[in-house]
Amino acid sequence: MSRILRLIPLVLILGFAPFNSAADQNPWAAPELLHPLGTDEFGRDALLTLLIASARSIALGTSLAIGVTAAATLFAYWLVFRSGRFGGAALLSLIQVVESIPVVIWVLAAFSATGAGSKSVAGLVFFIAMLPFATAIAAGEFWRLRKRPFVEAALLAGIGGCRLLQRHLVPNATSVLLPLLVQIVGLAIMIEGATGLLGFTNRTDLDLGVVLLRGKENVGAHPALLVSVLAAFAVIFLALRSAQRALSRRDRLDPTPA
Amino acid sequence: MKALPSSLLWFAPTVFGAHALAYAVVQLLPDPINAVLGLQSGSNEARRALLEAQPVRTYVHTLTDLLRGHLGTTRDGVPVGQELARALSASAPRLAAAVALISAAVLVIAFLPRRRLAGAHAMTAALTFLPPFLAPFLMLWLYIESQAAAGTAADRLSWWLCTFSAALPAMAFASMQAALIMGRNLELPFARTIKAAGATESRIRVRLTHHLIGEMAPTLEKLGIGLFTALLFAEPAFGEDGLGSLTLRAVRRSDLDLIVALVAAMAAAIALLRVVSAATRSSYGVQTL
Repeated sequence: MSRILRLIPLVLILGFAPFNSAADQNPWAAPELLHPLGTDEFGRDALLTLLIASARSIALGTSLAIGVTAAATLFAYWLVFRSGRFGGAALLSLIQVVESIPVVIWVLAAFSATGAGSKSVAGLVFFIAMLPFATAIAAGEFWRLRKRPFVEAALLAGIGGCRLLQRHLVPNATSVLLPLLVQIVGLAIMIEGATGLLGFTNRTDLDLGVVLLRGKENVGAHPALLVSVLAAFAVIFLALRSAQRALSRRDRLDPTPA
Repeated sequence: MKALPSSLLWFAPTVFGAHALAYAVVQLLPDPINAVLGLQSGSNEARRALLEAQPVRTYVHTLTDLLRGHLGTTRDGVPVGQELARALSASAPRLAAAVALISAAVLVIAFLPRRRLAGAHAMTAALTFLPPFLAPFLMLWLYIESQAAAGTAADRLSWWLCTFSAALPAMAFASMQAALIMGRNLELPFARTIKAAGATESRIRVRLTHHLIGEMAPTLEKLGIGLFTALLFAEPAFGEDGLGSLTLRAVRRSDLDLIVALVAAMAAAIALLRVVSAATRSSYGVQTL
């Protein structure tokens, strides 16, 4: 876990700093000591491009996933513990309607509506479209927990909403919430590539989805690009799984003193 | 509330709700006249002629037409119902083959040796993490590189690779769920008891497959959504006709009637899957939502 935590500053620096892998080399140069993966079609160092693209995608995907999961947890809490009969039914019906259409279609429509470059709008639409899906999953888990004796006892003792979430619900729902978070990170990373397929993204963008798209376009002559992106996806997945496994241990999130 | 009547009751609100939501969203799309007329969009006469040929419909008008079974016309002047039927007939065999592949994968997982279940879960979880457009890319690469791709065999190979790449994300998700549920159920007191009573491993697995179906039923709609999403990438990648190609075309050209009709059709399919899921659970005696 501590090894993964040590990577966070690197992700933050590469993900949010205004870096660019300078295009001062020949396109598709062969690998050498200074450029271990060679260069891409724009003459940029392929390894540095991949590192920055991965970090940006992780930063963006994780931010969106944390936001969606946090909001979904609050909505699920409201739905299970606080909503009246009609409020709950209204929210459930809205969830059913939004969930019946694939997220990608909402995001593509938003990109189409606002034109290329409106990443913030696409991110917002992704957030709104994912929220019902995540809320439904979190609510299912909270409904299960609601019937557990310790939650009933806490409710009878008059525990507040924040305290109930912090002490009982979230720590016991990690087995569901953390895999959900990982799944949302994966979906958020793929959104850029999906919009790129429609021609809405710039091929020079430093994003893993776009690099994957370029890998597919150049796979015949330069398969190394696609292979390196796949390797990056595998590393990201393994890192997220390790983090998920480490956090899934209930005692990590349990605020009760030992 | 009982699950099956409830899901039947929700069918119409889901379809009409999605229809209304899609209509509201497509109103935000850029002026479709520009997309249709291109360079001629500056000409007032061309704009007037197009608006006369394809008048803008209000939501009430659209809804009334939907109730009458009229879904509007596409930007090419073709009835949307006709386009949808053509796309559906092109995608239907692919969807049927994809469902067969998903079911086969779940059955294989259900009868996998115990020691392999954890590995299968890890592998399918990794596949689920990958973007749904990756499989079509890799299959297309395989198709291009394939030396066998020639004549009639090439068409067949392309069709199967397209189908497989469309099915792969949903197949990975279903297999992941199946491995998780089967691994957990094998440790249940019921499974241990019948094993102690002398039941063979295959007998136990057959019994637990019923549990598996009952427990996986609620994920049917997720599988349906995954399949639709993958079709969006697989069909255009292989240049195949169908629902995925039609949806991409509709979004690219801001084809309002077509987008609204496609969304309503998808919502109807997902609502139908919810009914199937509730019916499956009801048949196993699970009545709650």
